[in-house]
Amino acid sequence: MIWLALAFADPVAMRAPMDTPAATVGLHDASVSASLGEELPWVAAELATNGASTGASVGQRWTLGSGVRRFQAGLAGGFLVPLVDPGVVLTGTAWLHGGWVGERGSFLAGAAAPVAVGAGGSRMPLLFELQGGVVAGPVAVGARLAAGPVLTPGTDTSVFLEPALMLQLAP
Amino acid sequence: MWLPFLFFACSAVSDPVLLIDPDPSIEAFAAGERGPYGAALVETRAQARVTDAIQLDILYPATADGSVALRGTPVVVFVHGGLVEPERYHWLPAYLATRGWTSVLPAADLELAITEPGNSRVALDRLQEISDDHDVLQGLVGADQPVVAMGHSLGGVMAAGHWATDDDVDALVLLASFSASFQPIEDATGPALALVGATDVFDWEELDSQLARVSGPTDTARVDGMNHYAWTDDATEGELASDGPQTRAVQDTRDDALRVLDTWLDVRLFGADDELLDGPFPGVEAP
Repeated sequence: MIWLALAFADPVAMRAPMDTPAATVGLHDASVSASLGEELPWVAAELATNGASTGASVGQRWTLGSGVRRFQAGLAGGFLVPLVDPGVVLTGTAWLHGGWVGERGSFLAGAAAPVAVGAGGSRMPLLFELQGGVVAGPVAVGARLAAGPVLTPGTDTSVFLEPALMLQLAP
Repeated sequence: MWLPFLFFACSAVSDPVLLIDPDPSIEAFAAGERGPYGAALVETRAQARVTDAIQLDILYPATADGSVALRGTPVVVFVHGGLVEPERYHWLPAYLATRGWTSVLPAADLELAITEPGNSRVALDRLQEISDDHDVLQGLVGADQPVVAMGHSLGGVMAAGHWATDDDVDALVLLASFSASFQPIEDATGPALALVGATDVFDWEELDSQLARVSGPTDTARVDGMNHYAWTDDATEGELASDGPQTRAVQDTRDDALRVLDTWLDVRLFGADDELLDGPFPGVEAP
């Protein structure tokens, strides 16, 4: 088995399956996210677990379709602070997931592009994502897997693979 | 609020740790034998891919208190093998430090350099920054001195890619490794050396095939009785189980390999007489 990975902060929790506050802890990235209220945007905070960067994002999620089978799309923007060479990097994330979200659990597959652009360069990942979980009382516990290439102009393309655990409030 | 300050602290250069004491009684640089300088290690990190970070080990010629013993040194960028942490190679850059070389060893996430092929380039840039700006290590690296990309096993593949695509890298040293067919090594005009243990489980034909693509001078040496993991310290039982037999003492095989390496560096990078490469090199077959 080949493990592929690199680390960066990414507002992963904002694209968790259910429209409830969420936290994720992965091999390289940890994040928390919650809505500011009905009809209001979502906010997220993220941290690369190797201490390379941290950041915050604000965004919006949309559910396309009705019933348990649905698409979920989202857009988020924010900033990251590289912590080794401090500075400010702007971020933008777009994602689209499709699958099943029910009362007892969820399973979604899709793609996300958490792009970061700063004075020192840019980072352009294209991540393919699987995520799902089960409702257990007041919470939903689950797992997610993200993988894909990370283009960084000026250097070689890296490969990202991120297994993570998710915890959400049950709907 | 405390996290950024914690991590800013982590990005600094650590205090030096002396790995080998200096020995001023050594006056001549004999191939395969340590030099007069001590060897010290510092650790730092480099920002990479905008928001990622790389752990770096830097080993350099040092005095007894860990200060820089020699400035304007040549450089080795060393890429570790797959699933082998850089610390297990410290013996080699420490040895080179006693002979006046500075080495930088970038770590790769999950110890797989292939996932982060740009790390060695970032490491070289960070070393240059430190040499330019750091209070203690200022002037460590010589701007007009050669830079060698070196790697073991999978790390050799990454080193070959760096060598082939970075004009700042002058030479390539492959330890139990060869380049990949997709790498543009035809573009590199500098010299390349492949050092391989004769009992390594190794694809010799592929090595020959890859070296045939190189435009510059190439040299190959097989070290008698040396296997794949003799290049690393603390080989695990699992690693050795997948390896060929180590039929001689590890240190003896390393000494024989270093004799070739030192001679090759002198000839290919510092203008020593080509005939030195004809040997003799005890314990080594040079086809």
